[in-house]
Amino acid sequence: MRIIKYFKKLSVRQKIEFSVASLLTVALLVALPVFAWFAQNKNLETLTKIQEPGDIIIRAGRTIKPDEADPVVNFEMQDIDIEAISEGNPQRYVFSVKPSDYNTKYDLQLAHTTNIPFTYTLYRASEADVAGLNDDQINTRIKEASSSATALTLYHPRGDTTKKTYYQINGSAIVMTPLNLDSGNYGRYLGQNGDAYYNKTYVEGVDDPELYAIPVYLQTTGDNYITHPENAGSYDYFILELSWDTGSGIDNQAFEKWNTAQNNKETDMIYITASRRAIQ
Amino acid sequence: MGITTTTMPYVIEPLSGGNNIYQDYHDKVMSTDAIIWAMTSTDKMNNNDENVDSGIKPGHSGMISFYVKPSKESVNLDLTFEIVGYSCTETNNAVTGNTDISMTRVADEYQRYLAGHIFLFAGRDDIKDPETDAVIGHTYSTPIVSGADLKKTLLNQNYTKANENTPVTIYWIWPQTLSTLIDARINSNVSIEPITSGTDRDNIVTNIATYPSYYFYNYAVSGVTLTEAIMAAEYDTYCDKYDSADNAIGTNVNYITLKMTTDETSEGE
Repeated sequence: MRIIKYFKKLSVRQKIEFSVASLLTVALLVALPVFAWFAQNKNLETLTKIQEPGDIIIRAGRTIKPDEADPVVNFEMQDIDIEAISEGNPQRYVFSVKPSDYNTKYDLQLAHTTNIPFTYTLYRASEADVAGLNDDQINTRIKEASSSATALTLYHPRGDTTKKTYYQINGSAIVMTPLNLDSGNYGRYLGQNGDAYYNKTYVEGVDDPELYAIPVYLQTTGDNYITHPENAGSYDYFILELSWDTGSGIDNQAFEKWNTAQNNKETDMIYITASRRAIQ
Repeated sequence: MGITTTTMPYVIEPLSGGNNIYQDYHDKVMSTDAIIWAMTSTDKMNNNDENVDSGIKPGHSGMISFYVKPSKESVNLDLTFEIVGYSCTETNNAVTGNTDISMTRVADEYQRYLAGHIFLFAGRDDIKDPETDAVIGHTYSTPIVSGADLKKTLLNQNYTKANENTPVTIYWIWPQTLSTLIDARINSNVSIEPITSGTDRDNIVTNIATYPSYYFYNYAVSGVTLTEAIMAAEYDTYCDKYDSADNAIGTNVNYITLKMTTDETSEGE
């Protein structure tokens, strides 16, 4: 072949040069792929999943699923019996909070308008076992229980009275600190007009809210945060109790005057908020 | 005349571990120049069927290990770690009946939060309960902090014992709160002790001051250089921004890769 003929024509020195050049070229070609194969054994990689953050959820009582509270649309504060309240029997409503998978502490806030001079009290609650009680006994404990120790609260989903769960109050009232009380007009507690909280809610010079529309903010603050007991299921249940101050306090007189004037078709708005307390 | 080949001065091997339960996702994004880093149950990356949990979140930590096998008496290596975040959409393929997985790198903002929030350390010690001797926590040393390129590099690590597998462990943690990274206890609301101390913590604080957008959500650059004292005094603000960055990671990133590349330390380093 031509290369062999060409090779034979070269001088000895040229033959050596040719051979060395060829061998080095081959060596280079062989060496490079071997190196590249080992390059993979310098680097390691893995992959894992990022979990999604949990959210605080507010829901209603529980009837539909065994371990999950009903969607919040089922939370209703209706059939408020003013006469019952004036006779000393508070009206009670159940809601729940799920503090996510992190079980961190959280705060509750009640913000309410003051058209109706109710007092609002919050208690922790849990499902009550009513086996062994007949209907009359249950009804008495719902409608005529002035003491929180024996009171039962009925929860049923919106529009469906066939599903029922009964709740009992546990412990004493949750301490809620009012942030902006003004013991203003007509002997009523109102939201303070013109303080820091007012300025957060309204725009000066633009908004001109009516006295009773200014919300009062009540919050768990300081050491009064809510802890979630980890062995008690995933939802914390609460009972919101509407009453009026039966003592000689400011709300007593206010309620009597208000009720006498046949105002019992007033409307108030209540906002319940749960906020996770940051781990410090 | 024989052909001589040069051997690599070292080889990296993963420990023998379990299969990644997310291997289908990893296959979509795996680097071509890396081999699979098999994880074991102590790494707590929670991607392994030996783990109870699946996936990681703030507060998790673990140890990741590999072998270095030098082929000569002593080799010096730089270890570079990179965390890349991906979002994932899965669609049902009506034709094949399988689930199609599509992985997309997340935006730079979330890559930065990952670089700041998932920490690597070269050292870790146990904190033991004095009465029961049970391990109740850890302190960490030698932080491997992120640089401008979001990568974390541990320089000039020396390995001897030619032709033997030397196990190396790197500790990772996703700190739950800012107060575990900086000492904010001058603030009366804070009681948590940080996980590092001394110059190690100084290094972390310097990293926070240099790259605040890695640690804090929507950080507005000001002329102020952050110090531990400033962050502790206004702890409510900074811890809120730290937590918000964690939340942003959790809601925008579905999967992360952790990649280690190694190189011989160049002369003069």
